[in-house]
Amino acid sequence: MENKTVQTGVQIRSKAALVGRFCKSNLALVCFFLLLAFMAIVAPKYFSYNTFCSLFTSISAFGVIACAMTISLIGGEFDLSVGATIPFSTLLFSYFLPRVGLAGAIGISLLMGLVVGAINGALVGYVKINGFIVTLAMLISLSGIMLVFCQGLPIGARNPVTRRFGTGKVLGISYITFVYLFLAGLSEFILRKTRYGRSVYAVGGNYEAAQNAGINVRLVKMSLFMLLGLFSVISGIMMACRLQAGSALYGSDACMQVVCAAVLGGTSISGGKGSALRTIIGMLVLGVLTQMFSYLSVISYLRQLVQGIVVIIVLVMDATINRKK
Amino acid sequence: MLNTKRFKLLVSKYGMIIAMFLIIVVAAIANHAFLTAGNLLNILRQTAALGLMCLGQTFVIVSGGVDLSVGSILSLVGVTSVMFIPYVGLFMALVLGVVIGALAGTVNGVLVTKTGGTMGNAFIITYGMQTVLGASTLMLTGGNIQYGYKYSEYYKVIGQDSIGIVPISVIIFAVFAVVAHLLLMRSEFGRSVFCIGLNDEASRLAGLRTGRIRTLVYTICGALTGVGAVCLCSRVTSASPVQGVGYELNVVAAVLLGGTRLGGGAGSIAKTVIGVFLWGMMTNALNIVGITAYPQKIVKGAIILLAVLLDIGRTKAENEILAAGV
Repeated sequence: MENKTVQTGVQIRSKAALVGRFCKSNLALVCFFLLLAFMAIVAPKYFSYNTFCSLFTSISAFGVIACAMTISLIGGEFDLSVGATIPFSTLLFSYFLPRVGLAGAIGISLLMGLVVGAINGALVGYVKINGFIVTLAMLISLSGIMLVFCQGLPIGARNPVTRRFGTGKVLGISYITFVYLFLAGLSEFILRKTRYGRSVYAVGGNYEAAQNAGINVRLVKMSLFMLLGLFSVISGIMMACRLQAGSALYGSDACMQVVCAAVLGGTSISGGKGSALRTIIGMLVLGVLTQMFSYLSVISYLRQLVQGIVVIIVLVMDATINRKK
Repeated sequence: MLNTKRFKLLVSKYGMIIAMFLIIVVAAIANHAFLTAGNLLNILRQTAALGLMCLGQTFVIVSGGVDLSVGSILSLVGVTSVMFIPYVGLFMALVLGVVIGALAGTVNGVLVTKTGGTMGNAFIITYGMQTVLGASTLMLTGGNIQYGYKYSEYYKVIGQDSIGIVPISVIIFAVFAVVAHLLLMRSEFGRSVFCIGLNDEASRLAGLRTGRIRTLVYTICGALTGVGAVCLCSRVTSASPVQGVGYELNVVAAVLLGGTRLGGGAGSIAKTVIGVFLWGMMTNALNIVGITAYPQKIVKGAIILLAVLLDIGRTKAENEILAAGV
């Protein structure tokens, strides 16, 4: 009899542990449903097909850069300079759109992103300077270049094609949402199914071991930053199309948000672990949070505060779980 | 062969100082006002606050971390110290402000320790704290500037007045620099800070209480940032809730410029003091030559990178000379 109760006790504990483990490994999903439940109580009208579509539209531009950030975090690197690359690409795109046409504007912006990424990547991968410092210096310098370029002013980008791309919808779902989901899927495919993806995990998990296994670790590190540059520009162009303008402020706060989303989605800051699809859920949590705050008309400072606290809590939780293991 | 190596070492060791010297010479030729006693005192006064913040940051960087929340701590301390004045008087308000800075630093330290104390975690935790503290400051003030001189006519004394010809804030900086030097370079605590910066695991196994030391390091950084904030806000007679936005970049840059190595285990207060003055001279020189704020950013970013590159070059050259057996 006594034995039996002990056994059920163990079973209950193991069930609780199972639920706990599920919550920990699917933190973003749990947060997402908790937020939705909260909204269901506070604002039942919130739930509609349109708000759901607009939720996706609102996260699309930052979502794209979140994909690249996830890949680079898995590879053990982190990029502060996206806070300058994204706004600079909105400005370049808007400036060159009426002057050299759509293809030219896209080309010039992409070139800028790749050059920035290549410089970052070469300095981190080959010269072996700490990635934080390289991208910090790049952030400062590039925002200087950007501000000299635009003199602090926004640049309008009026063009029927880009406008249609930025604001058009199919079945209520915006075009840019499709682009986002396609790129997220592509990132996940690259990570899971290609040789390159596996080497990113290897380099992030154990640099020395990856090197000994014959992976070109320097090139992988460099490629992470070039990917970030590329995706920053895509995200910037999406933003410029949607808002029909470029500005030094568009996307300048992206870095904190996308790192927050990636960490919420279970990507490890120390590298070697993560998934691009889960980052989507992280982005959704942040998106719902923003919509919730604007729905309840809470001041925007509070949103920043909550975002910061969420990052810190998730990091501390992640570290304590890992240490127990 | 060895001479070229020696030369490389010399260049990488003193390259930054040479570069700065060139900037100063150019500025002095371009504008005669640069090398006047008045302007030099002005530079000292302007950099005292930055210097205090850099002293704290040096502790953190030597311990193998980095504190990106100092900009927000600056805003928070500036604003709260003014808000306290009507309730507790000027002196106590300033003290309370510094205490708040120290507490913010303690929170940083505890969180960084909890997450394992690595560089990457320190970076992101303090980056998150920057957001949290910055938003709290904005919420606290509703976005309004707090005018210290409205509450107390003595508010601007620290930042603007002088004893003899030496500004009070510079005296404060000098005193804290000496104390920080003794603490970091001459005390047991200082040695343990170097130890955890060099090898956290080994220090822990050797019996050092790494968590406690790390927390203390971040607390010192918060407190010194608080003192810097008081000096800065006093100089401009008011505290803005966005005063410190982006300031952490200047602080980290000036410390690295001095030659303290990011990653921990190497550096000194003397280097930081040199770095701070070089940074102050350079900012002033750029202003005086007529380079505006936007292009200045480009130059500053490039200088941070150059400082780190030279540091790598120095390490390499030192190793080569050691390997040559001389």
